[in-house]
Amino acid sequence: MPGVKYSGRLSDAELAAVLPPAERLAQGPVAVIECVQSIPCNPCEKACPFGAITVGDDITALPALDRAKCKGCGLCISRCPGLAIFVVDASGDEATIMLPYEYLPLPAAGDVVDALDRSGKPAGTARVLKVNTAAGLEGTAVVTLAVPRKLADIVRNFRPRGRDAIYICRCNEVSEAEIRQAVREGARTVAAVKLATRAGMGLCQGRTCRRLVSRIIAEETGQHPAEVLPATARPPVRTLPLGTLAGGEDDE
Amino acid sequence: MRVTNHPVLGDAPPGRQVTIWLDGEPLAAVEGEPIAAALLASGRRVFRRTPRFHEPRGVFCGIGRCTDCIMTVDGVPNVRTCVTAVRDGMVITSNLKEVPAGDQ
Repeated sequence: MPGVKYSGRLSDAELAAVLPPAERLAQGPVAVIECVQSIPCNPCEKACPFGAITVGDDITALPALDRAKCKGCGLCISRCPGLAIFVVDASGDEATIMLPYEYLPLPAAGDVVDALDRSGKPAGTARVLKVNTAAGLEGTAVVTLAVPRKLADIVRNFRPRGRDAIYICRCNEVSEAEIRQAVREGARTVAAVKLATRAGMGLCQGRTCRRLVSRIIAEETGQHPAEVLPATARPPVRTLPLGTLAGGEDDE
Repeated sequence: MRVTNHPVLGDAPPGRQVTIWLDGEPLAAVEGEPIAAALLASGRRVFRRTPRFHEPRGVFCGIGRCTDCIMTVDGVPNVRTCVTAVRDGMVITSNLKEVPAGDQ
């Protein structure tokens, strides 16, 4: 889209093109398809039993939603591989948001969770109304949240409370809280965090976590992520059997 | 499920049906497909358990970067199954039953 700065989440201009008008939101549940990249993908079109979603013969076209036909059933939510479809109902005192959720453990109905905005930042409190794990959803749970109505266009994810299981280093299973604790105890560089927690010392050699560790250090110390001393990168760039380096075996 | 007709990539080339051995059980696979693809097609989603908290892991990045999908293949440990092609007779074991000590 011209004039859009790509940040990994939808810009205001992109949102304006996909969000339903207030009148439609007030009429009852409606799908919100936050899909703005022309990629070859069309499961949403077949997912809708009411023919409300059209991609058409050009498979890279963006889905077009006929909001008059949409009943807000949510069957399209789990079919979107990009997890870009939500169903929002702002017709009552509280808004409800149905969203795809692929993390474990799943919440339970009645749980109070932190509602997150599109950037992953806390936006308020939400109550879990329903967790749908029907077999037809193929592993993508559809969770219904109740949120204050003013957050209907804001909340797009949630974080369970009371859990410290957000992994930063997947290889060595080091959590966000452990890394923040290490920074507070004086680890100010990616290498220092690595020595304190083993984050980045696993098989993937920090490919997954080092940027996240930089960001956490920056957040904790009030720096820009670019100011945080990065981890020392050493060859080999991918995992190799030691025999390959010794010349004893052919590498496939 | 295997995608045999892809809207952009077209039809999958015909592959030779082979047998691989997963935790001692025979499993039908297509020669040349990633081991992880054969496992997913058979319904297997948990490939291993983690050393520290013994949590299940399977395919995460799918491009050979994260090492979540590692298994032991023909005796070689820590093989990334998402980027390793199936060969006839491969012997694949997970660490599901193992409890590695010391490496935490």
